[in-house]
Amino acid sequence: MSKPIIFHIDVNSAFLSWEACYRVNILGESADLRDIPSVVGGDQEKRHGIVLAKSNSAKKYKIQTGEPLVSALNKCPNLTIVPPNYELYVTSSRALLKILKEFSPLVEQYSIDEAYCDMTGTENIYGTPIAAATYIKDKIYEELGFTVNIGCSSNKLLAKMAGDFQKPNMVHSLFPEEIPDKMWPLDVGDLFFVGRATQKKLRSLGIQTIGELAHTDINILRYHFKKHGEVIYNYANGYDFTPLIDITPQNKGYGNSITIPIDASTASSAKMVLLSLCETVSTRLRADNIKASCISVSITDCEFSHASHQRNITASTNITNEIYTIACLLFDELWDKKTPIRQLGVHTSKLSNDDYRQYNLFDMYKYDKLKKLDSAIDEIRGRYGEDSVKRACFLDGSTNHMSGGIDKAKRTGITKGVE
Amino acid sequence: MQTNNIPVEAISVCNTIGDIRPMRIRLEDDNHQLMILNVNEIIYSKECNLSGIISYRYGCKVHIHGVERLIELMYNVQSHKWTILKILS
Repeated sequence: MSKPIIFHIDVNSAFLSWEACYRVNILGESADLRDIPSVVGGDQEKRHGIVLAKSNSAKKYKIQTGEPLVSALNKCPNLTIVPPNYELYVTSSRALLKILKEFSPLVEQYSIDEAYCDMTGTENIYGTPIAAATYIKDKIYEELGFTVNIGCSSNKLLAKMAGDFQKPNMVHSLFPEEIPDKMWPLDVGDLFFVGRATQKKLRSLGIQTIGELAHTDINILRYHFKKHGEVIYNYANGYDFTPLIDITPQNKGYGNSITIPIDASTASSAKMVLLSLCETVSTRLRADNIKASCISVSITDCEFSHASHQRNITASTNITNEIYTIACLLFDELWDKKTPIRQLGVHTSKLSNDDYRQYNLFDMYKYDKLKKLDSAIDEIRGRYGEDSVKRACFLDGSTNHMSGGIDKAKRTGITKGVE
Repeated sequence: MQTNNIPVEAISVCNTIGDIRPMRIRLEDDNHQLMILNVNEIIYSKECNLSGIISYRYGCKVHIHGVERLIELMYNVQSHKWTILKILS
């Protein structure tokens, strides 16, 4: 059998590239966002004003993804800010995947702008990995108008590391024999799965580069990082045996959160938001015919400190009222009743596909009736739109009756796999 | 007149194998008068998938105020909109 060949394809500053490409090629604009300092940013009025993607010229001003637009503007006053257009991004992402599927039957979409491609055994069709990758990269640019980076290797991890080497519009290889030269001299923070916290811990152990990590005794890492230590040790040595999967795995949890436009300082207003989040989460659960038995509530207050609280329940559920009741209990236990709340989240986990319900002697509600009610409401919303029916408490319009997730205008199946 | 991206009304013809060909377009000129342009000749046509948006582009010869000009017309398949993408000469 031939040697495995895996490609990692990553769109260079995806949102910005797609936006720029659309503006130049479809709207006929003369200025290319990629050539000027520009960012794609959220809505400042709704307090979602952060940098989502930046151009290379913006990078020179040390603007970072995720920083507030205000601070980005301070760094570069003539920065061009464009609003995001998620529908376009989904279209572009799908077009990219379609091209990749022309080259390989096994394509795994890793995120909206990243994909893995199994090119094993294609040498006789497209030539050596580098030649094939260059061809794919050029074809994507020619056909879709945006640039990508392609990393070639024999497993997913090394392909991803290779894809991150130098940007934009490049092809890199990182085969196991190239690890000592290409990967080991890099800073340990560049390794996949090493975040800021792990990096700091590793530094305190005197580990600066990936090479040093690869040569560290695994027992030391196990002692300090538990299971994660083994993972990063393997990664530093280029071992990764996860197979490429082209079917979207089942969600491990369903959750939604929202940054409230104005800080919530009363329990009643916060609970309204909780209810609207529960509506969204439970609707999603019901749509996938899934029940959850662990509910958690998270709060980020105005000082950006984050706290969460969770509870297991005896019978798994996807009933809005039941999830809301538990969420309220958790919220009351979690909140100190004075710090203004900036962000609220409701998450559910421990999922099951059970069709039955384990009754409890002390059940307070008639859950079967609530279940029927929920499914009736889902059906009405499915047929006449999400706003066709809502709870009376949301009638004053101050809170959206289904919060969280992507804005309704932008909901285009962004989180679903591409067919 | 703007040099690019002008939305226009169009009359087009589809042949039996599904090719689309623009025949006549109508747009507003600088004096806010409706101007009808006949497509005299199609120099080139190509299908584009830039940004994943499928469109057809046509290089067309038209007479604007008695002068022959070459324009690029774009048909956006998804939105069914015709636009003059640019005036080439």
